Amino acid sequence: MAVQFLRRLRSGGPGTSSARHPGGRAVTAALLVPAIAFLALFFFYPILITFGTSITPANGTGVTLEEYLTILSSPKDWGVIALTLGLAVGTTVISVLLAVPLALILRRRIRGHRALRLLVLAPLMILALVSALGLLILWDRNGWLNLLFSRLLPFSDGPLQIDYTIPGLLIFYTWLYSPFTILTTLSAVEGIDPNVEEAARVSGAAPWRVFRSVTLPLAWPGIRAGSVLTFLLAFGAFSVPLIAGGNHRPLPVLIYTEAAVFQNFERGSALAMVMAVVALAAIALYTRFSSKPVRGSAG
Amino acid sequence: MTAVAVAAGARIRPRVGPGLSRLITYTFLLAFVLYVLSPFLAILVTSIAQDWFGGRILPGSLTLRWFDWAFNVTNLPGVMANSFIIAGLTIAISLVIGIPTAWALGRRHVRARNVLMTLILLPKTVPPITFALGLSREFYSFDLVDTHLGVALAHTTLALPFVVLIMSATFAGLDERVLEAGRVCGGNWFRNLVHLVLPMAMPGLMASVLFTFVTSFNEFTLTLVTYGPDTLTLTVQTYLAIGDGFLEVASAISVVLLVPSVILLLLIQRQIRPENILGGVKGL
Amino acid sequence: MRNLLVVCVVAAVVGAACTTTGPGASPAGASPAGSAAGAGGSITFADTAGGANFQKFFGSILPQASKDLGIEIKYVPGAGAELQTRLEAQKGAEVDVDLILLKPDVLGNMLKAGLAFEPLPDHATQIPNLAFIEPNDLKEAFGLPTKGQATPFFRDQFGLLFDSAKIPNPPTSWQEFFDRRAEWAGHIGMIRPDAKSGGGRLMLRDFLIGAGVDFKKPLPELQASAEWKAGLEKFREFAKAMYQPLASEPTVLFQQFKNGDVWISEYAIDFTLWSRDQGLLPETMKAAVFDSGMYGGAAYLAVPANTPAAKKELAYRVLDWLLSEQTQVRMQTEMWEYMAINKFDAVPAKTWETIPRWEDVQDKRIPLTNLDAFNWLKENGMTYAGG
Repeated sequence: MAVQFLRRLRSGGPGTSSARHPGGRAVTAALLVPAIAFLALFFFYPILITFGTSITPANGTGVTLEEYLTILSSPKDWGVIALTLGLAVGTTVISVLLAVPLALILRRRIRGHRALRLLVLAPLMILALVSALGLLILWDRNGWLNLLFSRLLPFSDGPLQIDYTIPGLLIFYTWLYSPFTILTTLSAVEGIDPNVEEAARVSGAAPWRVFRSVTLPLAWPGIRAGSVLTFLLAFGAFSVPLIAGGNHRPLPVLIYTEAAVFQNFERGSALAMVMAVVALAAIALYTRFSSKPVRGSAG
Repeated sequence: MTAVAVAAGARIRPRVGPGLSRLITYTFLLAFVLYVLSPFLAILVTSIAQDWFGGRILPGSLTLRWFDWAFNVTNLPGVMANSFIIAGLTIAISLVIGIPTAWALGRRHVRARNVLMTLILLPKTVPPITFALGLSREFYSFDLVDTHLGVALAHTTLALPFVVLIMSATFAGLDERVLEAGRVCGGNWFRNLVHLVLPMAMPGLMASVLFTFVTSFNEFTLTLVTYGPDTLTLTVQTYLAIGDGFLEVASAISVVLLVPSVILLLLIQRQIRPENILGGVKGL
Repeated sequence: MRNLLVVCVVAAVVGAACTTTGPGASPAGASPAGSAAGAGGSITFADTAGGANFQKFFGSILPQASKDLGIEIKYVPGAGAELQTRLEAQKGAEVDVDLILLKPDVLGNMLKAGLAFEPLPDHATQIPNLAFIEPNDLKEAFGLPTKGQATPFFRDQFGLLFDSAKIPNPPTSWQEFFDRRAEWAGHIGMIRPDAKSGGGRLMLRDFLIGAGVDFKKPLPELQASAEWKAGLEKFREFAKAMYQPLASEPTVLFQQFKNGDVWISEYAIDFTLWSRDQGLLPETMKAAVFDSGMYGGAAYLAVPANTPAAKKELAYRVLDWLLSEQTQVRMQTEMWEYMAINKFDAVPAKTWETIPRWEDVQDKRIPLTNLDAFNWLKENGMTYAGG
């Protein structure tokens, strides 16, 4: 979706359909004004104050890029950026891998598919901090899952360490943020005209080929849209890594610590600016690379 | 269009595949169900647990004390009402502001479209603490602090990006032929809007409402710099309860909170087939 | 069917918008500082120090206060850093908070940020119970002069917490704790020094004091001293015997106590004993204070200097009620906090079966001093804690 717009822009603006709309630029501008004015007032103005803080020396006047230089020259900060990005990308990939088979199964309207659809939404119905603690208890070294594993696999050596590890964070993030991808993937897969797939099948394509060259490309815009949401949410995750991250503390936790615990708003602000740039760059890159599988599809 | 897809979907239902494929399918589904549900079970048990120590499978004793606490200490009904009112307002404001913009971005010629889209996504890319101070200053000068509207406006900064993102994609994916038919048949724009656009955009709209609700309901930082005695929300209450280690109380609050959600979901399942909401969004 | 859905959604959204402009708008006009509504008026009391236990406590005592005083008290639980953000946003204007309960480090940071509070001794006639507060408690907190801008509401005490089922003979000094660390390797708990909660950095500070570091020295001098460097290295060794990774917040430490990963730590006695009584921690949990001393602090009540004058008068009356004997005794017996006023004779003797007598801990309390050094530990402590 965002992706679609960007793609369309690159190929020379929107289709002819929009050109016909009445009113021209004035109406377009009028439609855009509310959101832009709102964000200008309640987001851009406050964030500009923050940006100002990040380039103002701690005590005094003038302009300094010191905080930014410190971040850019610190391997530790680069590590945090990489961790944040890695967790977000990992969560997004796992969510897609989970969403596609699930959507393919649910579209068949198997028994109980309605309950399953509602179940997909369940993680959204509980406060993130509470679910983080629930997950922490569940996957604890003494938690239910480890108690279960120790019964099932008596030969395994000791309990699995899931809490406070990166694989653990991926499991928790996916639990929390995959619904967004699953939802849009399901929508996209069910929106595919079955005749197209049927046609491919009739003309002798193997099931995998039908999936690879027909189903997936057609569903791709939906998958991509949801995965952008999942990516953004995972990138900004706070409660889960705070509680269950142990020593793995991604950018939102670091920024919170700098701003609210250390009262170091200069560094906190600078980190936030870096975070925004990284997130937007990642989405732009993703947009670029992910547009390929759709090429030639009906969208 | 959903109906068409659904009908067509039913036609290709035939085979879940024999033996192995079926086994894999159901193993996958079972694993997924367990994965999603097990934390809820842990929270449910925690909410009635007492004396649950040292890696025991179940608590030593059960109690309803945390529920009593949830109701009596946290003024649950009042606080819950605040949360719902604020979430409802956030949904209303986000949709009213977001939909026109989404329409323009999805269906009209907009110069520098991707720059605009990027700017609109920006609030989702930084932690709210970074603009909380500036926001709070503004709110004091506008006298918005401790009003439902004020807290909702703060939450809207986080919900608006999602609404614009989802709705513009939905609008962009509207079937041009159907709209054209509407125009040809002489319907006025309002009729077309209600009878053609709205039904087609419904799944996107539902997704927006859902995500906005979740965003508002979960927000902590922006609530803490804009709330007051009359607008205390459940999230603030729960986070503060957890802060010092009262997971049991927080779990009880969460379980109470699940009740309206589950009822709502069951109603949806009864009255409106979920596949109409959670599925069939073309073009998204 | 779909039309029904459309109608439902539209109705819900419109409904939400309509119903809420009502209740949303009316408090907007009434609540900010302006008019003191009602007969006795109302004040807003922000609690940034108490957890859920204090939410419960205030929930039970404040209605009584309202009845006694004829003042409506709007109680708002909140968090220190965010409250500071709000107070800073209201600099130079009238604030919308009239009475605040704060932890000492939050108070310190607020004063450092230039936020001012009313000097309470100037209003001793309105707050007669102020006379029973230890004079020194009004003079300074965390080693900085407060000039009476805050008064203690309760005095809390840190202590060694341990599961007596696993540790029947706990250490009695930091040196012994350090020497015997191998006995409990992997089961010593600690909260990260850079957590929102101050518990971890206080444990680090107490450890350093136990290792001979003198926190009376200013930070640069302290950093240059040999015992500071040696103390931090000793702590680095000690941290290797801790349960790693360290707990990110108290709730995680408590979870580690519950599931048996952690057996021993230093944390607030009051809160831990209270949790044990509620069945939130094992019954075998015990607390002790080292003879060489451990952190003894307080939660402070303060009235912002830019609270409207009429509200201030009400705030003083509520403050006095909170410092009254009946309230303070209730807090001592229900919350296991040491009362702020020196009226320990009024406390039932049974109380001292659960916590040490005031006379016994009084001299072991090491208050928070040297905020600079403390903040340094907050920002750099993790370097030594195995992170």
